[in-house]
Amino acid sequence: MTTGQNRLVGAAAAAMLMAGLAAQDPGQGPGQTRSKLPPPPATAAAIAPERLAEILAGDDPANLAELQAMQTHVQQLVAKVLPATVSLPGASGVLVRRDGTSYVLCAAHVTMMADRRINITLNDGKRLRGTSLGANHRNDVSLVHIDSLGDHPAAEIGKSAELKRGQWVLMLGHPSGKKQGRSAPARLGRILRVPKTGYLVTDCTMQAGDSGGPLFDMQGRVVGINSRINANLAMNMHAPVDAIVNEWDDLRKGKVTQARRRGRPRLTFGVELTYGEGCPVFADVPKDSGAAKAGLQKGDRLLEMDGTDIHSRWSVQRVFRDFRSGEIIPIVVARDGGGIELKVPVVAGD
Amino acid sequence: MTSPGTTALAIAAVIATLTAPLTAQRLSTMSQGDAVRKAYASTVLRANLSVLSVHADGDQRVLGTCVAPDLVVTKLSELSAKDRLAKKAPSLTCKQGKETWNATLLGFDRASDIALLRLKDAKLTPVEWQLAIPKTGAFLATPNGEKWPLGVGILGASPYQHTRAFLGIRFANAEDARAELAEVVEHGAARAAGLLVGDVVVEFAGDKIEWTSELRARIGQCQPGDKVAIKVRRDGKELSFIATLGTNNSPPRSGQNNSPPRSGQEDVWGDLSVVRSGFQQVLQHDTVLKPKDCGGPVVDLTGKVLGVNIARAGRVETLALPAATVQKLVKKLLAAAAKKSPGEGY
Repeated sequence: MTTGQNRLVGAAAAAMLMAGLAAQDPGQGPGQTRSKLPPPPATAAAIAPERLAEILAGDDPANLAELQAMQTHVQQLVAKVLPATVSLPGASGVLVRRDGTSYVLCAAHVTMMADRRINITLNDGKRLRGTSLGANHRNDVSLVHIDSLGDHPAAEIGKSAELKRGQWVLMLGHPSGKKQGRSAPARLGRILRVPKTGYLVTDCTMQAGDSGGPLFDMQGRVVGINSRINANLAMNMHAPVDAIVNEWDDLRKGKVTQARRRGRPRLTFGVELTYGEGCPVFADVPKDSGAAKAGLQKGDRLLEMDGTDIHSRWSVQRVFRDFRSGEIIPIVVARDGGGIELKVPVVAGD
Repeated sequence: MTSPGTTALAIAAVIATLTAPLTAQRLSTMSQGDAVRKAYASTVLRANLSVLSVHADGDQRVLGTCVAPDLVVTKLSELSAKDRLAKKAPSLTCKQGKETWNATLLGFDRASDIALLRLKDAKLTPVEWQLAIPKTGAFLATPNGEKWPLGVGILGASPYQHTRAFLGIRFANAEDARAELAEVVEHGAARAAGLLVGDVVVEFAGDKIEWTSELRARIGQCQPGDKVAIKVRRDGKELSFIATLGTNNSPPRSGQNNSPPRSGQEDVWGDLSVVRSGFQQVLQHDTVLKPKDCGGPVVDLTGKVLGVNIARAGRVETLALPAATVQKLVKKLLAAAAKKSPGEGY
């Protein structure tokens, strides 16, 4: 009927044939039709607890009985973890308790920095006041202190290092922000990747607003914090909860770790170089630029850098790779039909 | 300083741009893979007799759900989309296996985005409804006539009203800014309340507002029809207004009623239905479907039909109208159709 299930063509044809027969048989009353219908799936016998544990740890459920056992488990799990799942403005988080104090585990890109006032809304609509503590922007985790007094719900903290590929997980959060009348939607999925460093990957579909929300294992322990997504629906990335546990004291004291800058800065001549047919052209050389002081003029065409012929953007970047910001690079430019040698300073771009 | 909500959005958008161009919407091979969907085979046997594909001018547009031997409900907006310019009703057919029936549009409900079709000389098997709503976390399957379901997922939340409240404003700067109004939409709630372009919103429903993202988040928690107190700063003075929130930023255009603007994250959302909000009561589940896979039934593990998939509404959400809602709609549309000539109002 629809595309995408080529392997099933034979089976599908059989199913459709059956459907066609049921529909075509003329003059049948509803009572008679019913007798030809496939039997409803029986309420299957309970499966062994060991088998359920096996499935939850990463096996595929093989039949209806196993699905039913799994469903019961997931329904109980959702009810258990929902109270601890909270919303922050435009984002999510999860309540935990440690040494008698309540905290929210969250993502660094949500709380950003320490000492911010954070409004927290529980699933039942109750509001709490919190203050952001530390944040680590390298692995996108952060901590919020709950200032409101009282006995707040809390989820257990698990160990992300013990996760295995294929293991079933449950994710909660508030996609597109908290909506009145809607509890944090639960999503079921599996662990696709447990890297030694970096993000956990699952196929629990997330969306903006889920950030900071919890990823639970099948025992209801927080094992990850929702962080980011990409175009592939099966690429949902969560910060491993170990990143918080290992740095608990630093985060609690308000330490903020900035993200590492990736790679080295891009090097340029500090003036605009346009690429088109043939050699790149210096389209604009402002008077006060270092390049102008070195003798470069507007309209010069770049022929050579450090003894290498230049014909593309790639070759320019290739030569820059051997230099550092502040160094002088010998170049040859074409001007008025002749070649001119210049020594131009290298500038860090962007 | 960047505000929390927009940063969350921004990061997702950046990641999206860093990856290769969007390939086809892929199902996870793990949670939605063959090995898992296979286990659901017995749950879709019965419902497969009641699912059809709905074609307009020969193209398969959506799925349909048989509710009586010759009646099929489907998703209205996907039927008319292509022919809107021609202003001509498309010729509708329904298919199941090798059989094809000509269909006529008996009636429709724009708010629910439901169309009711009558199939000529059809004697199909109607669905068996499941009226009780299962507990959150219930396992669901979406059949399409094949041996294994098209997709599987879980019920994410109890049924809720999927509407959005709008104040009828736009901001100059999307992020990192005070909530200064760049536009006050005509016919919008803000215009009616007396807000002007240039006003800076400083308080909304008793909450201090510093950033545009905070205001957005607060509006998102409201329902259309809510009366809220708004404080704005205008020419150095603070003024108070009462606004009654509306249902959309602009009056509905035909075929596009209530569809909210996309949020700039199109790349990471996959294919979404054009009409995907404004429903009275919806079940939200995490089954990944394409817009053209809507209109068909969604079953629980008992094999009974819990509702009709009505929209692919986000990267994370597929929405279904509950069985009771569909039953009521069918009744209403049949009663209306009995009073007028068939096909009128298309």
